[in-house]
Amino acid sequence: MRRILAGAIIAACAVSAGAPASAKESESYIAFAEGKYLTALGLAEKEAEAGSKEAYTLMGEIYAEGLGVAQDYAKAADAYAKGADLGDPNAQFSLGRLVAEGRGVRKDPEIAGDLFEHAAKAGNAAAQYNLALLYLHGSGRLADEIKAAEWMKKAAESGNPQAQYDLGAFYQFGRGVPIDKVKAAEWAGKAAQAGLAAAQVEYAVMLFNGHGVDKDEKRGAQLFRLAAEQGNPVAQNRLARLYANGVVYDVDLVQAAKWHLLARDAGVSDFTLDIMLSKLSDEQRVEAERAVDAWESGRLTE
Amino acid sequence: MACVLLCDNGEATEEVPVDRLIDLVQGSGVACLLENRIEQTERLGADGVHIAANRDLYAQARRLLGESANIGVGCGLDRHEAMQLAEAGTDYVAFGSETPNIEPPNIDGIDQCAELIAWWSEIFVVPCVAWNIDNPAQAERLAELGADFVAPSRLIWQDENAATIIAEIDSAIGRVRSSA
Repeated sequence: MRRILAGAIIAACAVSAGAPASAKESESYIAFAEGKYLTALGLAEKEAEAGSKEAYTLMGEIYAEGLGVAQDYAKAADAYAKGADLGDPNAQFSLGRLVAEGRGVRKDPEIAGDLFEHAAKAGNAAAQYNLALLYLHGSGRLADEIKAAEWMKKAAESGNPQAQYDLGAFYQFGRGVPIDKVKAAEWAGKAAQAGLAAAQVEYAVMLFNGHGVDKDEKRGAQLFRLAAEQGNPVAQNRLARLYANGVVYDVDLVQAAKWHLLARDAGVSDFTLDIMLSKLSDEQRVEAERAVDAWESGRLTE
Repeated sequence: MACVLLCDNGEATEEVPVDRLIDLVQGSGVACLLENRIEQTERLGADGVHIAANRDLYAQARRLLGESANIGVGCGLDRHEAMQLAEAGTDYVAFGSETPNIEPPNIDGIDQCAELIAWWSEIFVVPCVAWNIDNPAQAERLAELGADFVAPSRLIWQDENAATIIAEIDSAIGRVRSSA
């Protein structure tokens, strides 16, 4: 199962710049933070004319997201380009995304790579992460796992959970770095701590097996539960197995069935748990299905 | 789908392709069992093995594969063997004719199988599998009678619409489950 997860990690291409209004105290950003997008756009245009690079970036954000105005990637790219030319890393990153995906501008992985690189060198974690992926996939950059790992490490150190998780996988499988199970566990643990469900599962498995980290089944079980509550079906089946086998928790077949049914609804089967399920009494089965309904409606009201 | 069984054609097989197949099946989140090949199951890391109803064979498989493996037995239409093996600890017993035939469906065989499954599911806790069922309507009937799983036969792959038929069998079972 761990091999599969890692395959998915490396393919993952999460691109998130985070909130644009990163505590810029200009009037346009304040209006933006208050949700007054049209006011923010008007103010940003004035500030931009006066030479504010961040104001261009904000205009780009408003057009890219279609906040209070019609979504317009071409206008967004134009505004980002001005902010990028003036040296705003957020604008460079956001423009890089549009260029990488060919939205509002012609798709060009190489230019996207240049833009990510500028922003990455200025310390933008999302850009560092995306640059690492370009090196990993050989898109716009010659494939280079060592460089991919270097940028991934910078993004991870900047606190990007997806990068922490991926860097953990790099260490686990020796992609661009020597295999190092301890570092693999360390970074997976950080991403798990940040709440990334896939990392919680991965790290929990390490805790159960004592791979790269001291064995701690109780902590592992907690992480499976956190990820299961987030709706991760692999974690739901793992949690179900703990209840079915009486590991960490007392045997509780209804709880086991509840979590397994949820995983199965999400399309992940587990033959051993299916067998367990078929042995339940009608009463247990009904109780488990009620628990599933309660869990699902609990999520809807969140 | 709960599980994929890689069938044994009775000939020696190269292990590399089998290993890759197991990885593929497990990689898509489904358990993979091998038919008959107990040692290969252990060596290649399959989830379990499906064997003929034979207590010595079962004991040997359990010894080699351990408690966590899924070991099921094909009991044909034999109540006695099924009871003894369930008592010995098999993870499932399978009922149904061992020789699959789709056209024409072996209705006599399926009727006998239906009777066995109805009886078994009333009395025993060990799950039972309706074996070699390639027809969605029959699958639905047997699931209604208490079959915990339905296993299509290897001949199903001769049909170019195999995937569709399997999906129909799956949704037929699903209908029974959701109305239960």
